[in-house]
Amino acid sequence: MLKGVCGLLYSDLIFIYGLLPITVLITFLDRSTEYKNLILVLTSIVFFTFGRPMIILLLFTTVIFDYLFGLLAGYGRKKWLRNLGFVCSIVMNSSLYIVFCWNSLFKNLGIEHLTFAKRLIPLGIAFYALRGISYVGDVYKKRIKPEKNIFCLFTYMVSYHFMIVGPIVRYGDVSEQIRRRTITGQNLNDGLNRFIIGFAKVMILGLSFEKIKDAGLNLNELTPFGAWVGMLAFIGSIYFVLTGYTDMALGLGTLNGFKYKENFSPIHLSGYVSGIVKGFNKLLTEFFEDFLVAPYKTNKVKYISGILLSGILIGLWYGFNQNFLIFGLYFALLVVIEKLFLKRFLDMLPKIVGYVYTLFAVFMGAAIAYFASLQDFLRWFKALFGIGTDYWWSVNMRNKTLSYLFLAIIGVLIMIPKVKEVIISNLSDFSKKNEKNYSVLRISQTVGVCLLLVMATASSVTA
Amino acid sequence: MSKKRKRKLNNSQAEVYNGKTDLKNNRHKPDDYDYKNAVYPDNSSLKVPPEGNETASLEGDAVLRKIGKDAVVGEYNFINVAVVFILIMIMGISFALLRNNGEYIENNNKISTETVLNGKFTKKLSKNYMKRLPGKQLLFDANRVFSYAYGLAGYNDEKGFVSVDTGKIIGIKTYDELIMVTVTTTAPPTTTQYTGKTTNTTRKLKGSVFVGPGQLTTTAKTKKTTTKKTTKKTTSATPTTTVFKGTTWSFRGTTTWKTTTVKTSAHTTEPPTIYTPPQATTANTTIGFEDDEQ
Repeated sequence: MLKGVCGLLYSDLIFIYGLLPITVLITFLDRSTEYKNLILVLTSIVFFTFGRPMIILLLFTTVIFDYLFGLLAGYGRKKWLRNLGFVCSIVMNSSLYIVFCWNSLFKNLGIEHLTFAKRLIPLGIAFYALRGISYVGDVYKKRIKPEKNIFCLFTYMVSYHFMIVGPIVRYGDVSEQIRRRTITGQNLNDGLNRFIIGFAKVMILGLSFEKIKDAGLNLNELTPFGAWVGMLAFIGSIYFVLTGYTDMALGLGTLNGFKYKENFSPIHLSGYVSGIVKGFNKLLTEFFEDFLVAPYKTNKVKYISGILLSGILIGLWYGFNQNFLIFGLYFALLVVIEKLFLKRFLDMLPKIVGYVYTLFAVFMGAAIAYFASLQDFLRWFKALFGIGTDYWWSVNMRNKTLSYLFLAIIGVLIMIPKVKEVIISNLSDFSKKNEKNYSVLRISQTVGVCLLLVMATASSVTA
Repeated sequence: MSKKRKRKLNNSQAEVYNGKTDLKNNRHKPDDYDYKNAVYPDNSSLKVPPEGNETASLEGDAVLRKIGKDAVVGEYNFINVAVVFILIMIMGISFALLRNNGEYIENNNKISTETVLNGKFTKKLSKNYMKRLPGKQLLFDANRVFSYAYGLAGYNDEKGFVSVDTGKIIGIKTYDELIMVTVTTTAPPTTTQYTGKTTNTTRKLKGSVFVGPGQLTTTAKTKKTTTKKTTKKTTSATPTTTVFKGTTWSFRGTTTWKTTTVKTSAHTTEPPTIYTPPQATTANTTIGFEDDEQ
């Protein structure tokens, strides 16, 4: 359990080997969707309140208010009433996010009455705060009708597997599924497999990259090798932790009969930075794009301002810090520059130039997010080119890289979509040849998934 | 049967009955069809051709093959789900039950309204769960075995300790072994228990301190060994500060490790074994085995 965070995580063993199997078994006692929703809500309450049960009151309150704001934004007779509903939702949800996630800010500003004695972060507060805004926003924009059944909204707001999937699963995408869904054998199979693969991504690949990163970016022993490989490992660890948790969430959703949109697209360097920004955590990007960018496509100034503002807000959503603010702004600026002229210019050059530019831009963006202070960033940047360092690598860095070399290679191969496509198409051809091949493949899949589960569990215990 | 379902069934069956492929062109009235003898499910999109038509029979074969394939896929899905779920259940049950019964709750975690509401109960429950996992050593060993496949170095926790004396990597490989090497039995002198002679000796720590070039390191060299009748330890240390000017990153410097040998004549109980970790002497120095957790 993370320090200060109330609730379970998908990767907690008590969840995987306790709550999850019990929930799956109980869910099958009855076929009706209402029953499934009830079990889902009850499980989610246990999931969120593990370690701090009173947090549930906060959940109830926000759902009730979002329900009311939704009605106001949808059915308000006058425009100012509809506006009020939307604004209230933004204010309430963003206040919750700031008060709970960035409480230290109040301590620094001297606002004592808003400062908590202990660090207290209800799990997923960032997600359900944004989900509340997205629901009321969609109602306000008339994309969906306001929900009259508060239980449906409650299922949407508190279901634990919506937590890390998007982060924003739009209500319009799941409202039908909340009302009616079935769980088939295929669902169970796909859901379990995806959940375990996600678990392995987080606990095996994510942790391995993290160890290389820790050794490489240790400011007490910065070397050029450590600076380069450490930052690449940081990108790898972020990628696998985020995609791993998303896979786990998608797997849990599938187990419950839900079908969500994918949150991560394969990384294609041909789209440059804009392509990567669009494909990485794309539901979050789409959400901000819908509200701040898409309506202003005809006006160039407003359009660019919308992109910049979206970048800043996304950065602040990741972390309420100056470095995340700069991180968001940096990527937004690159997107704007690419849209204005850089993309056309890069298209004229050999492809390799575009690839190098994209990789370096992402590399620097990751460094902006990683280093909290400018001094540290500059020290690292100099170390990249051997300035201020006397040695190429440290013993610790060398050992860590060698220790996790195979895993790192596997991780990099997984990140390259072309490799993935080739492997999948080959396996598919192999299985199509005859029934025996298909059987071999399916049994290997089952053995592989079981092995991954045991390995990830062992890694989780020793981590 | 509901009206909607009946109509659906009739539509699909009518299509089969007429041997027509396009549902829109099917003018056969749904009510004329005897749905009681329907073979295919109402939601079936399968198109079964009439007998005697060659192309249609090929289509029929394809349909049968598809049904067969679906059945095989379903079978393997079932096997996969069953095996994985059974594995999860076995691990889950063993994690929950293979230990002292009720230890989660009874041992140090009292269940009451207060502990439940302030979250202490679930917090401790979670802590106890991780603390008392059965077969933890087995999982550690499994992870060590898996780690052979992870990389070239063979060990996850390998330390790159370069010996100052030999210039070679010290053969301390894992966290556990490192602890075993460094833990020394120390008898804490107490005034009530020990009345005999106490000898304070100092020896070098086997795993030395990791410093980089140009970093300061303080070496505490203990010169004196005193023998006293009292139980208080007296060790006079002369700290000297040196700058390491080596050419490679290495572990350098000596940290004193205080051990006390008790020669006693009057104590009745065995002195407890206490691990005294060496103290890092400057801000830049880190003790090797703590490094992994950074």
